[in-house]
Amino acid sequence: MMEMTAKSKKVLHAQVEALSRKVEHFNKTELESLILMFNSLMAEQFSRGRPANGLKRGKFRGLLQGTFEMTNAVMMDEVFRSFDKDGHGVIILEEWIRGLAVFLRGTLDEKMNNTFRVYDLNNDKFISKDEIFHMLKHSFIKWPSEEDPDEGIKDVVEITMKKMDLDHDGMLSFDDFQKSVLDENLFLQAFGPCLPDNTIIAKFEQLAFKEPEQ
Amino acid sequence: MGLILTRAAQWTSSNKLESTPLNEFLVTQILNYAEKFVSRHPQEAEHVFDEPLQWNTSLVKYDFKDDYIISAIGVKSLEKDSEGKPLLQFFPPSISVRTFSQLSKLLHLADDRKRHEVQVCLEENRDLMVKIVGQSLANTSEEDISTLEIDVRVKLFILLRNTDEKILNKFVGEITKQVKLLPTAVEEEVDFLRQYCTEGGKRLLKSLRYTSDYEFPNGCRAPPWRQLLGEICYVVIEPCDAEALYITCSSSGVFLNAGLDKEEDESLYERQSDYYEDIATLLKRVSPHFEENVKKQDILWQQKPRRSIHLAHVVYEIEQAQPKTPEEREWEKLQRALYGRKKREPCQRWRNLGLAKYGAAQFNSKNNKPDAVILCPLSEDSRVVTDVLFVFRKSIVASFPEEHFSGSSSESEEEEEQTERRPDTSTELQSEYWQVQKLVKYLKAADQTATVLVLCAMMDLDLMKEVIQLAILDLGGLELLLNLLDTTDIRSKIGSLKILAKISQNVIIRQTIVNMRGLQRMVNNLDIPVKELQALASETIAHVAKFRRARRIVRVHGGISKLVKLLECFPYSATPEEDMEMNLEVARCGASALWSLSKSSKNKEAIRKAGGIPLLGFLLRSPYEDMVIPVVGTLQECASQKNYRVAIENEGMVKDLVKNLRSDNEELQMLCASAIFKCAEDKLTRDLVRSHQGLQPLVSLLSKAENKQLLAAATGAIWKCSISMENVAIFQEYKALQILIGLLTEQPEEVLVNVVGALGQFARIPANKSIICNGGGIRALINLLNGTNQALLVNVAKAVGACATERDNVA
Repeated sequence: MMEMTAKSKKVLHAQVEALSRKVEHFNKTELESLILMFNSLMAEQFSRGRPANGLKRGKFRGLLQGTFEMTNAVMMDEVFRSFDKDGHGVIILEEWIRGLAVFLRGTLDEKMNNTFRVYDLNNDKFISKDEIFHMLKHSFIKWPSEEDPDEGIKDVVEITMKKMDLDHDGMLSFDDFQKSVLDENLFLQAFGPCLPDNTIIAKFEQLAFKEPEQ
Repeated sequence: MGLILTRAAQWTSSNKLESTPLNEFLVTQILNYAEKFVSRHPQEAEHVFDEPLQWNTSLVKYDFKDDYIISAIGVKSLEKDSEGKPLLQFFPPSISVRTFSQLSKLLHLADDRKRHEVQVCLEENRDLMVKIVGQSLANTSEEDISTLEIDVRVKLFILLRNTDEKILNKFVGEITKQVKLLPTAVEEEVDFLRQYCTEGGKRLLKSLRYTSDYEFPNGCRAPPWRQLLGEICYVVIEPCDAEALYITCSSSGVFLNAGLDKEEDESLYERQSDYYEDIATLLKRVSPHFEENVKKQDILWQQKPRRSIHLAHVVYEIEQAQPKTPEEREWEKLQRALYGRKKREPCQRWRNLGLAKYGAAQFNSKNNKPDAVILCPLSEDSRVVTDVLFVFRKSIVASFPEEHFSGSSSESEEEEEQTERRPDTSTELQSEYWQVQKLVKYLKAADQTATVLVLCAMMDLDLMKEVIQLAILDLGGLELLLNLLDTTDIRSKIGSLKILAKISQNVIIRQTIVNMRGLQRMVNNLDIPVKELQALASETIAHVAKFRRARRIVRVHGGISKLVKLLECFPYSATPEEDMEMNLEVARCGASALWSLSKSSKNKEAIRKAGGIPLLGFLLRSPYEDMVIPVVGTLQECASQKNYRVAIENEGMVKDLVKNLRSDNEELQMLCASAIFKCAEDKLTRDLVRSHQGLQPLVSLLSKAENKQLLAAATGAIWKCSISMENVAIFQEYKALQILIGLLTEQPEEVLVNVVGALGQFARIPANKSIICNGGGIRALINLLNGTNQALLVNVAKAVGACATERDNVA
């Protein structure tokens, strides 16, 4: 870790104080580690051009792929969007901390909120069949070549909608989604992996929270 | 040919024909028939099969000559069907043939390899008849044939059927010619050879011993499931000039095995040599020293009776209990389920046996062999039955109960691989079947995300319905589900297990899971630190481990220690409530799995070694009934072992058992009573039951006369507890004696044995003797003497004996 000046220490301290009031799930030492991690990610990004006011999409995708082992390109973009709450195209410190809080320590409610936002591609508070189809369209890998995979995918979408669309209005509201997940928790990440699993969380936390002790 | 392949041929587990003389005979017969088919039935030989026969041939391109088009990728016949498709196609090494005439040409080309070709063709086309004449015709029963319109296809079908029967008849003749060793003959020979194990000039062998000292009443020493294969005993012989020989003596002859000694590994039973007619003949072949000395000493080998009927009763019993082999049942069920059609009448098999019997009798009378005359008519029948049934051995072996002599309650609960056949008459079968087919197809194609969605859709099917279960099996879904357990994706694994946990309540599915190494995969998932996954895997193991082989596999793959670890549901005191609930669920499922597993005695030992007893004792104290039931279930199962009984006493579990006798749940009451029944052989337990006020609840359980299992367990516990006089006194306070006398009539034997046993104990007090007599007890007891249950008779005799010591009662 680079040497810290007294000034930057002071800044860090202020950031920790501010964030600890806004975000649950992390204690102050943990917040400190995550802020430092954010700073170093920013620094790596800095060297490649003009300074940015937050983490850019490419950098963040790299992190999702490398550290959180996500591979689905559609999902990675959507996760970026779910972190970037103000929609400015970069992830600022507060968004970073809030996002990770759900990622690493989120309650089921928070996770449901998060994944629903991820799957609601156009942000209209509903997941439509088209959105589901878009997310699943490359999901059949070993499909017989003479058949149209879209037909199969469409059928899977239909079957799933039938099960999850509890009010039968042809799309999934948050209410539908929440009830379905509570009934069958496998639906939490129904349309693509957008949350890290336990082993990856454990790995990440070990990596992120051990450093300051050295 | 269908019958020959399913009934007469002996198959190895990998679906190959075993190389036995009988199979060779069958192959030769079929080969001869196929070769002559064209000249005998030229018209039928041109009939194009419904589906081609396909197999991997040993032929190469250059074996094909005129009449074939040979190209770079393969060979086609010039002959074509009406649609212009060639009747023979060969893409090395796979060949497909569609008429008998092409088949016989091919055999001609194969020349000295033709036997091999026929054999491989049979192995890879076990549904031969269906392929040749089509599904619908192949399943036509005998009566219906006459109603069919006679065309070439039907003619061909009838021809094949008749040949089938002809060959089967010859086959039975062949079987009767086979040498059969009797256990007595083997024993005589072993005793005889033993005389020559001495030091000195007469010495022929260094040593000779059986691998087992235990001799079954029928004279065999092989374990029962091997006896079904005709094996009689195993001997280890050290010749003077060679290494130790491990020999299997079976009814079809004597052969070397793969080194079978005290260890019982299935692979060690395998045959390593040819069959010899007796041990001496085998020794002569392998030990020159032996042969030389036998000649020198001019030892005369007596002629011994060689016919064996020992298998008859064993197989007959099995046959009674299990009217069909699992494969047959599975197939039949599926047929009926899918097409709502009856495939085969139940008596068909016996009709065939009748036919076989006829063939055998004919053979014997023609040759008028002395041995055939010796056999009385009854044994003649059963012997033929034996021989024919012998070929079903594969399937029977798999289902023979373990620990036949373990004396625990386990066997009675052993629901071995039998099932009732419930007729399914639903009309929506077709649509459900297609639904499953579609989902399986998606599952094959899907990535992780779609896989989970498809699994969720599958969960919405009625998975407890047999049609659906079997459709999943039949359409390859089961294999896919099990394969998901090998992936790293937790969600797919959970989804798959959610389905497996349900469909594994079906016996056929259970067996197939075991055959597909499913248990190993579940065991592997037990130590992945995801609670839900652990719970589901344990729950599924609990369902699957309902038969011996399955339980053994779990143990061998280290499943027991992993399951015992799951019982530690309180690793950290500070777990939030949510986690706690999941921890309890994991422990409950772990205990359920152990309950299933604990029916095998080696597993009981393994649970103990893994440190399971204190954990079970701990969970026994938990307030949750769901948790306590599998725990007590495991404990009462294990209480057949001394060290468990000691532990139950020492760890204070008797108190908890007594406490749960007062529960409202009859299953739990039954299990607790049963545990006390087993433990109360020891005095300390009897005292503990009394000091924890357990005697009164036991007596009050006697009022639950409608639950016979509960009644049997409660009366058993009372019987054993009343061995202590102090307990008898307390029982009497609660009028146990009068209630017991009332239970002497109209109860099943399991209950009667215990009731009478208890009366015998009570009758040690003089006053009770007259109570028993005056209460009409003696008459009821005397009536019970007409039964055949040995345990019951012993107890009745004891009780009557105890009463008879009072002078008045004798009169």
